[in-house]
Amino acid sequence: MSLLFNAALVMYLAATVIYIAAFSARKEHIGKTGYYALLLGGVFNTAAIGIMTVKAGRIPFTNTFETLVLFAWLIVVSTLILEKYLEMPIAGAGASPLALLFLGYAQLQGEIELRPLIPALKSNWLLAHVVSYFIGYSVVAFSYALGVLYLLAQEKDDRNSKACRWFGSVNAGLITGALVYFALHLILSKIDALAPIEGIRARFRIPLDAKAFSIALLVAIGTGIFSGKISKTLLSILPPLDKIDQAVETAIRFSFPFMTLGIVTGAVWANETWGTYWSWDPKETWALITWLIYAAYLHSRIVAGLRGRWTVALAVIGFVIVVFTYFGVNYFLSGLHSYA
Amino acid sequence: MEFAIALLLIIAIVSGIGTFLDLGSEADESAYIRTFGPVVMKVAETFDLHAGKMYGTKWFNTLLALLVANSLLCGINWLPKTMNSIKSSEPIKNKNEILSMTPSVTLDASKTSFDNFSQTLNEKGFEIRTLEENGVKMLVAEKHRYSHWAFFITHIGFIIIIIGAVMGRLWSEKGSIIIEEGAMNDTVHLRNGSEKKLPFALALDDFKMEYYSDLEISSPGINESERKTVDIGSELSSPDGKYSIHVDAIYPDAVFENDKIVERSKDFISPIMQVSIIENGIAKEKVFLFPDEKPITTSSGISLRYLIDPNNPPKDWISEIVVISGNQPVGRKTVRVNHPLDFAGWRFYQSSYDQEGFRYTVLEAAKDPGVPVVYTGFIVLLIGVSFIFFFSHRKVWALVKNENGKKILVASSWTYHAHRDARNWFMTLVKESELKMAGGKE
Repeated sequence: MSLLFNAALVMYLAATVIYIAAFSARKEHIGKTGYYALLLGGVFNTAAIGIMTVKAGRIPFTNTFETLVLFAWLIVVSTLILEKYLEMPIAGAGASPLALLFLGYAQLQGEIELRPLIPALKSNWLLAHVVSYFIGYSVVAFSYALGVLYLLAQEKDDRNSKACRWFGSVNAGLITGALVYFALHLILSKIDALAPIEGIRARFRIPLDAKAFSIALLVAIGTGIFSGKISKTLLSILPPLDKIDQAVETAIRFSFPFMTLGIVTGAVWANETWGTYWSWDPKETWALITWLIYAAYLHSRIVAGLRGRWTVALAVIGFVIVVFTYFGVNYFLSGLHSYA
Repeated sequence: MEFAIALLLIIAIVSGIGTFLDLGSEADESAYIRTFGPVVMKVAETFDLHAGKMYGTKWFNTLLALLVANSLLCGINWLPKTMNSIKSSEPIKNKNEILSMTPSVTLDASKTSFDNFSQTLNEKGFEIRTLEENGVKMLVAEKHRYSHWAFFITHIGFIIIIIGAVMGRLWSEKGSIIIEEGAMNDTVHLRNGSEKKLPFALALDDFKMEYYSDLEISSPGINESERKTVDIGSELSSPDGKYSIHVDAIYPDAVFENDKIVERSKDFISPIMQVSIIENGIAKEKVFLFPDEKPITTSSGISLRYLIDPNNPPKDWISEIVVISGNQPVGRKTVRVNHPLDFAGWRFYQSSYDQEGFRYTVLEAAKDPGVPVVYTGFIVLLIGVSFIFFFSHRKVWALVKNENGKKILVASSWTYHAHRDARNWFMTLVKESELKMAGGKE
């Protein structure tokens, strides 16, 4: 199983590198290689999920590790489909690092033993709740990838364009920083295990986490500054910006019913388990916040007829909140949803 | 409209703040002040920003009420327009009208034809009306006209959910009920501190806690052993593939007396697992396993071990409940997590238990007449959002006429959603109709 995960990780990394190289060299046909790398990674990921299912003898989407694997897989599946459907060959350049990030994060947690379920999770609602949420979230991850590229490509020198570029580059920096942190963590832990440091050097040893973190922070800042300066190049590579703007909307439009289904099945399930369909538990509240942000986005697009960067920025914020709902709530806030 | 967007965002932001300022039930004020500082404490207390409290305050409810009022008003505002677009059929357009629209195309009618175009539309599920006037053929095609209703359905769903939630706030009763084994109880301790007598009573036949049982199998000469969480009826293969092991029974509390199993109770105290070793479909021997002992080597050569892994979560908490009304038992239900008991508008959920001796169970009791309303709202909302985002009203106009001795086809389209996507979609349609023509010729 870990072999399959590693193979998927390598392919996602390859896809990321190929996509970015293809577009910076403006060779779209190399971008196709990126597409196939992503496809192959997706196949490995699928196989890994299949083996997990057989080994556990149950649905393997019940804790953070298992849902991360599902999330990465669905991001790849939706990117493979939407890239073709929306004619957005660039999307893979933004989406494959995300798949790499989530699968890498899963791997960083170590191969977690497949354990039987706690009673509260043994329900038919589990599948509907988790799967509808992750379909929704993976498609908005796609819109997020496009949205960040859109914001980075604001080339004008006025305050609003600068703000958009700044926000886009913060996001690009964060993604790269997180990726570098995970990679360094893996590499440094291997080196530390191979060559233990002794004597006086050991006293001044920087802890592994601090090392990885400080390097990742520097890379993040570097990427942030760099990506804030490539708007002109990016603009010449990207499809027309209004087409990206529309693609972001199409993706969110598609995922919104799934997010609604996720919240509804979650509420019905909560009522079956805890006797109340809504208890303002932090996870519930943040899921509602996500839903409200995307509802605001859709209202601003469809009813108010707004277009362009402010709506795109809202879409990007929406996904940042999705990520917080998914991980942040578990780390910063305590509640009923302590399993994932 | 802008007001609605602002409201959505404001509610999102204040809900988010509330989750961070959670005092919790065992409020440790000094720790709280250390984390957030005394100013935050004061502000939060003044406005009741703390989670659990905030969501019940007047001002938060006012925000929600404003959102409901806003969607109602917007709905009323939109109703005539929507009725209009649903009722009225689209008029057929003439050439100049068509060409003034975007996207519109002028095609060489030798590449496609009016009939091909119309057939393509028909295959895509469009409703088509045609007209012929002075040798000019015209058509208008429409699809998903009723999707305009989705806007209302969605917002009605939202309003129904809020109505259900208000009903719950006004009329629901929630609390807990403790029942001892062999006894009955009809009093619910409500969350507000008062007690509520039920018109019926619940008796507890038995409470038990179950654990997951793991079975480990090893074959002689093979290092890797097979280990899996099993249940009654599970079947596993030995690592060498020669035998399969079938779990016949797991007795939760039993002893061996005179080579026979004697069950002592249903509580999970001293379990015995009974398995059959099967070779080529024939049961060869029966083995009894006790948990956490050394592996037992059977006469078939394979070794078996019964494990209760302390890292595994408990499997279930089970209360055998009898409902008693007028001194008569009227119903029986095994209440487990995720499997509540429904009776006379009340629902009872497995919630806690006697952690020392499994002698009593604690059930969460809830009566909420708002739940069916909220569920109805959920269904309506889901239908609405699905229709809004998966179906969009589309219209196509086309006409064919002779111009300067050449046959030309003029066509245009309109979609309710995704206007910028319309051109793409429309050009695909045109291409398909051209392909059909090409296919027909060959």
